[in-house]
Amino acid sequence: MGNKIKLENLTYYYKDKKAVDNISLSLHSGKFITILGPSGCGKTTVLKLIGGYLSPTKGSIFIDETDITSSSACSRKIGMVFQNYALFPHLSARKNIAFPLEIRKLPKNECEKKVDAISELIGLTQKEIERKPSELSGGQRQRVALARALVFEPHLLLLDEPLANLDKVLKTKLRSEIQKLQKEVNVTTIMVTHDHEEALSNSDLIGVMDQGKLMQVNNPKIIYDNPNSVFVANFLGVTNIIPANFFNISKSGKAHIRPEKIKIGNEANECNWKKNGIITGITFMGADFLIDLTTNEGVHFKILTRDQSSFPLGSTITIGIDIESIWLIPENHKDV
Amino acid sequence: MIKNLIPFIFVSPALSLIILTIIAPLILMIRVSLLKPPEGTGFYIPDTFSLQNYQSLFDTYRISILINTIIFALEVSFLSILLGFGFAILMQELSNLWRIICFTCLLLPKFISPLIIVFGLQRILGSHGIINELLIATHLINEPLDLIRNHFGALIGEIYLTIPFVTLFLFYQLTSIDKETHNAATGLGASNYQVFRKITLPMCYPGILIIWQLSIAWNLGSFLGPLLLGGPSNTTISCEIYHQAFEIGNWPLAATWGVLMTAIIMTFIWLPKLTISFMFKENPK
Repeated sequence: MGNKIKLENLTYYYKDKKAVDNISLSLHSGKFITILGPSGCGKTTVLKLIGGYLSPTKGSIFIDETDITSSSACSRKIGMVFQNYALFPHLSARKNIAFPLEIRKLPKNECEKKVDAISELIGLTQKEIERKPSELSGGQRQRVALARALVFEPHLLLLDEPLANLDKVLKTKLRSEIQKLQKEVNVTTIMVTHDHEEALSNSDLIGVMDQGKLMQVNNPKIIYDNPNSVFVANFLGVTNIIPANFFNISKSGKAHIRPEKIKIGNEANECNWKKNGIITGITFMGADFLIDLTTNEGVHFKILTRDQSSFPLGSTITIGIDIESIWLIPENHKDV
Repeated sequence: MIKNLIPFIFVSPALSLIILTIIAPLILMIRVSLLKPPEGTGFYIPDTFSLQNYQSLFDTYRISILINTIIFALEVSFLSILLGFGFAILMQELSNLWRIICFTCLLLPKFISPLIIVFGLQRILGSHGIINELLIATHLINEPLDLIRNHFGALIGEIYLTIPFVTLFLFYQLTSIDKETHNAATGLGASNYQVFRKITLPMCYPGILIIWQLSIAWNLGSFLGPLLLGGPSNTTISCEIYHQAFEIGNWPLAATWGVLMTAIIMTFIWLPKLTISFMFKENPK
């Protein structure tokens, strides 16, 4: 397992609208890429194009060196987990998982062996896989769908918002399980999600999409700290986009700094850039507090801090930033 | 005490309607079936009691009518479901506009009396009907084909009356299947035929079973098709009831047939129900 995948100028028109706009992407074998974007940005369409459920208006798809653009969905050997799981309701979980093997006419005992092996790997008990999908919980259904997509050793695994229908606790649990499983099976994986936390925690690479375009592809750290556009910066979580001339680092353009990089109180004094401001809002976030601050010049900052007890609402405090940690968003991208 | 009566008060209109329109006539029918058939004048001999009508059913001609009715209902149901299912699948693949056109064509005949439909079919299929005229005009045949007054005609008539319901029912059964299920099966390597055979068709079984049961119940009472488009050998129980009640005037025998038909229809409705509950015993969901 573990195949390379390459997309070349992939374009898809839905009616007159460009749902997928000239996407090129190359992914090494065994890697995990997350395509992150808001609803309707075309990320699921990309998966459907790769899976063969839609055929692209333009462009090509390669697995290793083979062009699969025109081959049918059933001959592509790509495992996909759908958002609603799309399990076959009339078949037991075991039969669901065995489906791709039975289609390939594998001998019965070999079939059983593979189903048992993958079920164990994925954490489904013998008792659970004898049940019908309607008798399984959301998390178990998710596992069955995953097992079904992996059992026939696909070239590629596609996950369409696999965790969207689960509660927060289960989400976090399955998130790390999927990641572990992916490394264990070593299958090249493309996941689609709108949840930036999911993307940041799981992936080797993140591709951020907006309005059919792939805005930036890079590893999670770079996407988070060094976004190439305001859109990417905002989509990866709460952030500060400040005119760059405010920091005197550039005449024009926008500076980007994450709220947790801004220091307040005593820590601020050690920084090489300081400003005073009034606290205009405090939001409790669980582990931290998000402080809204307005400087004397009228620039708004968002600051994430562990402890806000010494900074009451309305008080004037000093904020400090290490100039080196400010990222200048490249200007060659058009931003709204 | 009065509190317990309140539910009965509320359902009493519906209950009395059922008693008045279903149970009372049924009891009346059973009573009439136990009267002696008329001798000479009248429709029955009042204030008599005999099982003679039931005994008279055991004769080769009447048993053949009974068997013919059941076989005919099975044939019509089977063919209607076969054609209706095909039509429903086709309709699912069509664009919205064509789907509406299909629906209209399917439902429009249901707005007019079935009698008119069957007369229409008679005109179309008759020896001087459109089909025969067309075939003769194109020199494909020299003599008109016998399309009516035989088994084929009766089948066509009843299938035409049954198929709209079957198609509609199966169409909604099909649309209730998630499109992603189809995609998932394809993605796992199944060809279109395999998807149909292993996913779509099995998922439709419950619906097919229900419509099969309904269709048999309807067609055990088929009347117009066999009467107007069928031949003498296609006589069904309904035709025989009509014949006995209105042409011969033997009400007790007609009522006996009626009792028998009610019993048969009830059996055919309960049979699949028992099968279903047996089939899904392990999985009550």
